[in-house]
Amino acid sequence: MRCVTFLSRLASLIPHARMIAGGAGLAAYQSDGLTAFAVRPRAVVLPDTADEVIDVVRLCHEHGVPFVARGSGTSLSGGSVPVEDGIVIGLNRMDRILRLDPDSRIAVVEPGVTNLAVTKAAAPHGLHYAPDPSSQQVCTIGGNVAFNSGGAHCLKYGMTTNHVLGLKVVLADGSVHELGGASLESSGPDLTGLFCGSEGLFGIALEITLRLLPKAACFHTVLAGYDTLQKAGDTVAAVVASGLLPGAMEIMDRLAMDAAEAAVSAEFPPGSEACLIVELEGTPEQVAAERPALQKILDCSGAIQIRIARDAVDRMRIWKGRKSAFSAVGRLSPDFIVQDGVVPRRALGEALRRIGESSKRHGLRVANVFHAGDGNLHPLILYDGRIAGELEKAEELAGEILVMCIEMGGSITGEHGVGLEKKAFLPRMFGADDIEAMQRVRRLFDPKEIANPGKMFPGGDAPAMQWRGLHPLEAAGVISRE
Amino acid sequence: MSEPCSAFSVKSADDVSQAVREGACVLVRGGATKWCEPPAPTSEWSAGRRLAPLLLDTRQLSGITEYEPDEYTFTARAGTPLKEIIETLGREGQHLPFDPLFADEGATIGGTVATAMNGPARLRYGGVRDFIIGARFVDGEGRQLHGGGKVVKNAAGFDFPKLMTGSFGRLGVLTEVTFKVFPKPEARMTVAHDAGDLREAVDLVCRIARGPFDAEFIELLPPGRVIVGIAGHAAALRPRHDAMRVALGIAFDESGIPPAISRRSIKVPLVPSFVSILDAKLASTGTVRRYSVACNAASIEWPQDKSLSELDALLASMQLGGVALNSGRIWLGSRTGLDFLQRVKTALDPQNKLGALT
Ligand SMILES: Cc1cc2nc3c(=O)[nH]c(=O)nc-3n(C[C@H](O)[C@H](O)[C@H](O)COP(=O)(O)OP(=O)(O)OC[C@H]3O[C@@H](n4cnc5c(N)ncnc54)[C@H](O)[C@@H]3O)c2cc1C
Repeated sequence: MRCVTFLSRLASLIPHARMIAGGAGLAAYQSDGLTAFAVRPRAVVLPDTADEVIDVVRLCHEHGVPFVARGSGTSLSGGSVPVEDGIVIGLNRMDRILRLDPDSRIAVVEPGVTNLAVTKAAAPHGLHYAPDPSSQQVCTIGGNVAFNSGGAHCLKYGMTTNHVLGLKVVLADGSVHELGGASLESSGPDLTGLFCGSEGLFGIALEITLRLLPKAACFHTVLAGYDTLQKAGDTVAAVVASGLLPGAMEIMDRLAMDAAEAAVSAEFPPGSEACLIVELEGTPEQVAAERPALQKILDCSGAIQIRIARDAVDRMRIWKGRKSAFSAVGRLSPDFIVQDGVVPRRALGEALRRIGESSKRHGLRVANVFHAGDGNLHPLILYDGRIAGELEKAEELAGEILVMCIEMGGSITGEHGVGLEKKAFLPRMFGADDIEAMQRVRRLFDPKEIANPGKMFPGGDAPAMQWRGLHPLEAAGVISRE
Repeated sequence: MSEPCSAFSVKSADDVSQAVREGACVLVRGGATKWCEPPAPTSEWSAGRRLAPLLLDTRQLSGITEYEPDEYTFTARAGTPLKEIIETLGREGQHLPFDPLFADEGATIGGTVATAMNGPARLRYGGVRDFIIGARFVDGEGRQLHGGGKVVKNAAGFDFPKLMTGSFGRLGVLTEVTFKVFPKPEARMTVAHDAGDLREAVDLVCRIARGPFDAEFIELLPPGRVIVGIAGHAAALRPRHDAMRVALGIAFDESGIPPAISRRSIKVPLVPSFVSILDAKLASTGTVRRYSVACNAASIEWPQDKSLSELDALLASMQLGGVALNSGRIWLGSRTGLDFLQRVKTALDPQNKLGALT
């Protein structure tokens, strides 16, 4: 009865054509980028306006029906997997850039705007939106805010949270709030900062004010090959310690390079076990002055080959090789899990060595393509879900890596979020009191615990992981993992 | 200003917990460079209680507990003087790139976080909120909590360190903070241009901020003086300055550094398009004005003989907010997210022991 009333009231809020309440249409929403989890939602609604979202959230609150906000469903931690008996609020249709002010260097966007669309809209003004997750063609700003997503350029410019100035949000109890504003400065506690990274557990971001940055005038991109992964990791530590502040520092191992080379010709250093991409960026004068310092470090780093991008085209080729690596690795294996733990940068070499050992011990291949400058690992654990026990083995290996990151003083996640996948590990980073305080804050926004319940915090019912294959967009080659 | 109440020097997080558990109302003070509390206990503080508020002095809760120069992160107790941190980082060629304020006057790192006070250079890479990566604090029930971590990138759990930024001790008493830091530029160069009037000056500020010049700071002193800082490799500064001059088609003079931000200043966050309007209203009041962070914050000195309520009303009428230092009250004008904030307050300080949000 309750269900019928709820659904019919929901149908009165959202036109028929934008609501899915049964049949095959629901299947498209049952998983996110971590396809091992799947839950069929009760219904999916696709609002067009903030008012529609607010109405739906209020109805959910009144009926105590859980909801999960969804952007493009590319979460890699199970963050946008539906909740049993709950609904999905799909925000892709809310994709308007409401305002772009080049003088204030801000863009005000709806949550369904894709990350790349912001940069494209800013480009004519010589500006860009700095956070650049490799899913940027499809992932939404709403999803980026919820997960505090990163990308290759976090080292210098930080994560999503460092670029969100203001928010309009509807909390799970249906109340609407404005946080922060359009200025780089603010007064009062940083509420915008608290909302960023809350993984959809507070409510839904309806409008987001983003900070735009001027595009760098000049780039200097270097590709260095090493005979061991550890040497590449140690070089990152040396560059960081030298006082240079590159725009990006990324590492790929042999497996990743081979796969990428087969997909796009990036001219990775032949015969090397690992490569490091370092990119200096800034004014031409500053970059010219920094080049010799970088060269000196690389010359002493035991690199077996150093290649400098000849021009803009060559630079793009190197980045394309880097960005295509994960989908390319995906083709080497029917399935993979990607982890995103963080370690102190001095421990990178050691962490990579230990991942290599674990990989051998479990008999599973692990490819590494990651944001080395931040110490943010992305080990890609290859397995075949059709072989009994392989998924479990892969999960065990993933868990070992997370524990190693915590032991080294790092974090279980740098940018993919805790979601469903890593919630059992949260208590290893935070004490019971810390987690209880987070829960208390959350319950004041969401007294009925209906906003994305069962995520981030340990306990509660969670769907079991099952083998299900690649994300549909990934299988289609639209996006790749980083 | 007279001491508001009895001061208690805390030396550890346990001391803070105990004080919060036993006290009826607890206020925190570091170096007192930004002291904002009323001169005497008011009914507001003791809200229904008879006891006088307890003042926690954090200056003995001091010391850098971890610093790994190669890692570009440090952890320090809340009462650690900024000066000590700046000097320690400086010896390794590192710095907090947001020009933390009032170091020479005795500001502590905890007070810097609690007030979210940034200097002009917050323009380039961000402010306190962007560089804090971890925090330990005691909540209004005396519990010792922590959020964030010690690595530069971390997305686990709610971001309590950011929440503490700008909270003026109302949500928790900070006991320890962890920051990421940046390499300190080898050299700096400051140049200035007189744009004539305010409108021209704001326009110039925007053109510089939008351009590929990597300005470290852009300050505007009314009516028309624009001061720009660039920093980096020493050999590159002169050519960078020349390139900027050519691109903008104007001449710069090589003036000194911009004047220091006053301890009595009131910060008003805004956007460039509000500068002219606000400035017109303030000019007639005899207020000293300056527009900081590429016109993202007005930094003003309200005449001491005028009541703050007047400024409060003026800001509210423009839907602007403000943060006052050393003036007896903290928040002025319009405030966004107050209901949201009130809920956070209820979660972390249900008995309202850590001072009101007003
Ligand atoms: C191939 C691939 C590559 C990737 N590369 C990167 C990378 O380089 N860096 C990185 O950080 N991540 C990366 N990711 C992860 C993912 O793209 C990001 O987490 C992204 O931010 C998710 O955006 P989305 O629109 O798909 O959000 P969804 O997956 O739909 O949702 C993610 C979370 O956000 C919540 N949410 C969505 N919209 C809102 C809203 N408006 N308000 C509140 N909560 C909301 C959801 O409930 C969910 O918890 C990658 C993923 C894939 C599949």
